[in-house]
Amino acid sequence: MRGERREYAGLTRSLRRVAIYGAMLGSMLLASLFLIAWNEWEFGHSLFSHLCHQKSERSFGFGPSHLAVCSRCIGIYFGMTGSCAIAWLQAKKVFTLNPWVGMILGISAIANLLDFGFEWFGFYQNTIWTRALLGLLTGISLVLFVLLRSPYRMDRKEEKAASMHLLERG
Amino acid sequence: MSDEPGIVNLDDCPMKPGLAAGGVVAFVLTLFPMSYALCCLPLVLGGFFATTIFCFKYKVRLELKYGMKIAILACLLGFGASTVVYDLVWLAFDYRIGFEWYVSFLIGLAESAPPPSGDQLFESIELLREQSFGIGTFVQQIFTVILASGIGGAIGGALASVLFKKGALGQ
Repeated sequence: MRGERREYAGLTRSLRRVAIYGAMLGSMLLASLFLIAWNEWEFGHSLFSHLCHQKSERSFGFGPSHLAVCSRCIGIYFGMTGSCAIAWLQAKKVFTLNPWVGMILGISAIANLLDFGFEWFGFYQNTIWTRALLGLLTGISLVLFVLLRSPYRMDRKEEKAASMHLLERG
Repeated sequence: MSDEPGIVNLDDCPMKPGLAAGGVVAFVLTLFPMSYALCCLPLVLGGFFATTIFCFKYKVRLELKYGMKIAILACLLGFGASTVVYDLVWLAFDYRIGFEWYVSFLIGLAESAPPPSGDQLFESIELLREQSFGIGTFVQQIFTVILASGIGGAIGGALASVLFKKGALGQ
């Protein structure tokens, strides 16, 4: 029972810290991507050249240039940063692992693969927004899945709060 | 083992097997230019593999930070090594591994793209062809390796550490 509580009573202090770090690092990454595009920094574009194909017609434009990563990647980064921020702001609540999160992550990963594969083989032509939205869904579900499943140990106070919460829920 | 039951002391578990396995995957997948088309997926896979091997080898489940740490280090090793090999081959034989495949891939895209984007792509292909190896390229590669390994390794390591949860908790 104690072990189960550890597994299922989610957002502990350590996880909150992870969410804060994730939100901060993600915001810095997004800010740097927008700055690179706005200032047309060649060095910045080449920094991300191994992380993404950077094709201009598949990336969002910003200011005089386009972003240094494609629409799918920016969707993933936005989703990850946003869900870290949500987890951080929801810190007062005790989350429990919902099997739907894993299912949504699986569905979004398969949807991304199908989107990529169907376009690769010429079955259909996706748009910049479909790629961004699929990336966003993947980013959000990935972070929520990771945060809610991570095996952090809780301190006594947190365990007590979690067990009270579980009792209340029956 | 730690004094507390159900806890494994991670000081007794060297990272080497995980780093080697993940590093090899990251090396192979980043040496060839498929990484351009697949974004950070090769490094996510490398990081995922590193943490997975570590979990199975010592039969532990890991905290997020430790899983991510192993994955990022493995990606740094693998991607760093592949970058060094790429540069050495470029300098020694004036040959860039997988470059022609990448250029033909880009030309295919440029031909199917509408005129302004297609022209931009053709220009960037020309710039790529004329690129020479120098200190600027090397510095850029160092930053790229750190950035890409950080992002890809963190995602892969986090996923592996939450997916494989059998065994005692490693701390």
